[in-house]
Amino acid sequence: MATGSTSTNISELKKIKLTSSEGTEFVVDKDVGEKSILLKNMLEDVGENDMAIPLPNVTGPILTKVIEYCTHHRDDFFISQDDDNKKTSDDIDEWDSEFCKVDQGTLFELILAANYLDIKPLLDLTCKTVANMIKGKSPEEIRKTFNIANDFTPEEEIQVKRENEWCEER
Amino acid sequence: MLLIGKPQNESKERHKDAISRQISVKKGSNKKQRQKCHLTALSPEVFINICQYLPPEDLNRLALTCKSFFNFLFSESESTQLMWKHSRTKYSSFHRQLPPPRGMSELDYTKLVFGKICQICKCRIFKPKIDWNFQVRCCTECYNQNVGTVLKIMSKFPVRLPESVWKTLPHRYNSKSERIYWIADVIVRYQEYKALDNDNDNNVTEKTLWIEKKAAENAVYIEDQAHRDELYKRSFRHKSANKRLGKKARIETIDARIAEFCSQCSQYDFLLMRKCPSYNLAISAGTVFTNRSWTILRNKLVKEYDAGEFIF
Repeated sequence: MATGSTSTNISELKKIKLTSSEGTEFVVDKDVGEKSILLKNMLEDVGENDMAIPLPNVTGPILTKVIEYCTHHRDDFFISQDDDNKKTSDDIDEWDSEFCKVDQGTLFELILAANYLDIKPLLDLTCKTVANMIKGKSPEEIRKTFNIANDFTPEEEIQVKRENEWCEER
Repeated sequence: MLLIGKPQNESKERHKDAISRQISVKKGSNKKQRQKCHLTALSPEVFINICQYLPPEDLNRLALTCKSFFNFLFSESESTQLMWKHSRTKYSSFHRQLPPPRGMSELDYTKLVFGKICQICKCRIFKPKIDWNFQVRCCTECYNQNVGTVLKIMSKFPVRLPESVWKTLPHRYNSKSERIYWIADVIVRYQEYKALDNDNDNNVTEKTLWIEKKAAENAVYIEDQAHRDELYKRSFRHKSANKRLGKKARIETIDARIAEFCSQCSQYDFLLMRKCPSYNLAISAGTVFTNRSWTILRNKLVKEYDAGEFIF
């Protein structure tokens, strides 16, 4: 992260401005903002600029949560996603699991925001949380948890269940 | 980037979903939050990201919740097959780490290695095991119904095949050293052979080439199966070794309890107690030996001891 020898630096920490979908302005430290690959690339393209970056897909409350996450993890070295096969959903640390204790609407909005802003660790964390909500549940329980509408007819459901009971203990 | 099973259907599904959501919102606006399903509204990429943390059993159950997940998780598409592969390798050990045999899809393979029931009659008797030769997991009864020696098959079905063709089929040997075949395999091979016969009456070379090709395929197949058989047995031995250790520990626990009891009630002899019929039953059971199991066992042993029922 070479800061370059542009003009005289006022403060050591550079700030960037973000605007949420409602038009609220957020000021964050540059290194926090750059946890988002989308913002990082944007800043690289635009260069030194005082303009606020509009984020029409992210609401204020969600952006607040995202900034909270990025601030907590600002010094973490985010590992690239190469070791896919080693990733499990049981290795969530305490802070992260507390962070994910939100209502389902917020959790899914966080997923969408992490995906849009390209913050891989946050996307992985939220996806793991959802996976943990699915694990060990029966189809009925999964439907109930996520409000999935059962669009099988009763006959279809019996057949589909019978054909796919290969893994069920009983 | 990622292909999904039936994209058009899914978007339609989602559209329908959106409409029904609107309707339900109008009907009861206080239930607005409850009616919304976030999971089905996710993009395929994000959905795949979630699925990579799920073992095969959970993927299967997720697929049974609604049609769009069903179509996606059971589709033939490359991304779906990759997902099953991912899940299988991540949540398994030993033989399950091997890639599927040639021609078998990832999903079918996952069902085979993670399955717990007979694939033919769906029973659970004695947890049916895999026969790698015929690539099937089934119970003894179904197995016996579906295999046969050459003579048995020829007596039941009008199958006439030269010995060279029989040799191109996967087989095992039974206790009388006779070759046994999977009957359905034989019938398919016979139909192929007959079609060839009808097509070119005089063309002998074509037939020979076909037999050679099938024989070569079978040679590769046999080698692959032998390898799988070996690994499968090894993982099985590993499991039964653990079981043996468990049994040893169980015997020690039971003996300690009996010894303690005999030291308190001197009219009972330790060695004779161990000759009671219930003792043998108790040491071979697979469950945990709790205090309650001991009370039950003690009462049985005392009863048998008093009645003089010993096994020598």
